[in-house]
Amino acid sequence: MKAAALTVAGAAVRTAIVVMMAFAVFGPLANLVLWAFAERWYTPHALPVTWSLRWWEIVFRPTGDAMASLTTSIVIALLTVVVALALSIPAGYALARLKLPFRTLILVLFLLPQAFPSVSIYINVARIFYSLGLAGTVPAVVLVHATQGLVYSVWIATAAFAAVDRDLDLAARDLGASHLTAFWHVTLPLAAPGITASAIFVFLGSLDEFTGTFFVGVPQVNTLPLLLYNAGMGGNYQIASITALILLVPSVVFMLLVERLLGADVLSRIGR
Amino acid sequence: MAGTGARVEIDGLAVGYGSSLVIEGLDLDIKAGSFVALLGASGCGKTTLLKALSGLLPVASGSIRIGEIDVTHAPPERRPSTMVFQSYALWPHMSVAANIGYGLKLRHLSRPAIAARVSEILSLLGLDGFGDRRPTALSGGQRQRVALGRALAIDPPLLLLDEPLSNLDASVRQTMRAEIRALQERLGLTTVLVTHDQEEAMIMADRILVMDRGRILRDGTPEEVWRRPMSAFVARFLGADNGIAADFASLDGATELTLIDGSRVLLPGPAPFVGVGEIRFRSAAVGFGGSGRDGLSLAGRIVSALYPGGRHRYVVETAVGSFTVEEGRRASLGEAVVLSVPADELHLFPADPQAASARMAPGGRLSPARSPAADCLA
Repeated sequence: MKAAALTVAGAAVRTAIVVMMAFAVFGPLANLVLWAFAERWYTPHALPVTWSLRWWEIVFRPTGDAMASLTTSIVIALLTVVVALALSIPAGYALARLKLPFRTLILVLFLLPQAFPSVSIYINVARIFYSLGLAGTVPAVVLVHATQGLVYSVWIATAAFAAVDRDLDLAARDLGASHLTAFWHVTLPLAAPGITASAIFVFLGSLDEFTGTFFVGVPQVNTLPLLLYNAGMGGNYQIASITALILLVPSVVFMLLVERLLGADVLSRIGR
Repeated sequence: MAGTGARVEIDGLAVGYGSSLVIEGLDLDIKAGSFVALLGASGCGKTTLLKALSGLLPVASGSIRIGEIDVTHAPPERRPSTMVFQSYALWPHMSVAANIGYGLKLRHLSRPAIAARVSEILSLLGLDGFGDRRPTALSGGQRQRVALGRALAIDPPLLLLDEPLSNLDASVRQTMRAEIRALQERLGLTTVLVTHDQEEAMIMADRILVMDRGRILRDGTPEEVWRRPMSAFVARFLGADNGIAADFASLDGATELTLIDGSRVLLPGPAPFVGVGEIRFRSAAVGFGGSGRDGLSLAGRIVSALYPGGRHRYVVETAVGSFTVEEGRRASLGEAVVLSVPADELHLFPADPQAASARMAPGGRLSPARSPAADCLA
């Protein structure tokens, strides 16, 4: 009897914890969804007073700011992925395969941009970009996003290459493949899932990036997060909510993909 | 397809990792079409030698020739040898057929020619119909065959096997040993096998090199090496687990051994050397009960009894040490027994390396002019 009572109490506590966690995650999301379909919503009402799809029409209007910002965001994110991979594939291969001195130091170096307060960094970056005439251009924003993305892409690419058994490259060499041929035929295809995952992290990071774009790109380059910020600051919660939902879609879809791409063999080697 | 094997000549080879040399001044001549096993414990230099042959490890000095080509400083891709890796190293992103055909693709053969050769290899290895599968969908023995097929596809003048069977179940290993040996003989491949498994080396190779600390201690056919190990180390490695220290003396044309407890044993034939030495014998050579034949007799007591199937395995404690014994008769713990080892199963070695070197040729091998009684009293 006593044991049964304890079990019931345990189940109740567990349920309560799960409900609270679910609310912490889904509560704000529900608020977003409600705002996205609200026409008028003010206190003391728990739910919007009148509903409307008008704001969706405004956001998705082909000539609207939102569509232009979305295009800019995607172009910048794709370019950022290209830049990050162009650096992280050779860097990851070298860090995983070659006997480099100060290997750990090099890996930590890529963490540095994350270690300092981003605002102070980007104010200085913006100043340098102004003097170079780069400020307010897409390449400037891409550079800033790529610097942030390199942490994920270099660390994950290093782990992905390290997870490829060295004997697999050597077997190709042994059968007559040069260093480069073995890399193209064996090492790179086998590291590809991990590298794709790192590309997704970089893409999502760029898509959501705000601070760097704000200091380096504005007002000429307007990405979706900036539009969201302006709408939010301007009190237009509908546009802000719809933009946020748009930004949420690729994150969720890609994260599901990343989980399949990053096997335990790669994850266990990150940062080593 | 037959007779593709090349002769391999190694001259004064020095090779190692970084600045520390594992092998120094090694000479070796391998006949075309022969199957050589490099046998030794881990760290003896056998894998280092194989890597030097394959080009995976740079040579510090000396030379390696495969057939007519000097490959001493050639990278692995420019050597005519192919290797079967211990891990098989099959590419999981390619089909079995693509794995086997990879060497041919690199040699720019036409697609139909590659397909024809791959199906030939598949049927040679009993893998018909497996071409489209991924290596990960195969059993251990099948993967082993694919790895072998990948190496064989290009008709290698030299085939290198790096502990190829160590990851297989005992029964599959038995089959693969016989299969690889049969294939090697049929195709006339020059083959070098690296193994720490004495039985594997004996069964597969026609020449065994026992290695220790980068040197070749014994070089001969399996039977020669087994019957005349020539050194205590080789004898121990080839299963002569039991050893007794003894003092050797000559007595009227016979050999008199004084054991550490003061007891004396007389063996037929003149003493191979005089002074401190070691007697070694295999557990299978020991029996219970004095047979009346010439040899060693030791009284003792059974302290451990195991039954691995077939013969019983006992550990018997005597006044001069403990010995393992394989015996058909069933006996119980604590039972008093008399061990007997026939004289021709006793391997005798001088303990003093100075005394040994007096009769040994450079490279640690006994000179042909040695006493006939040395090492093995026949």
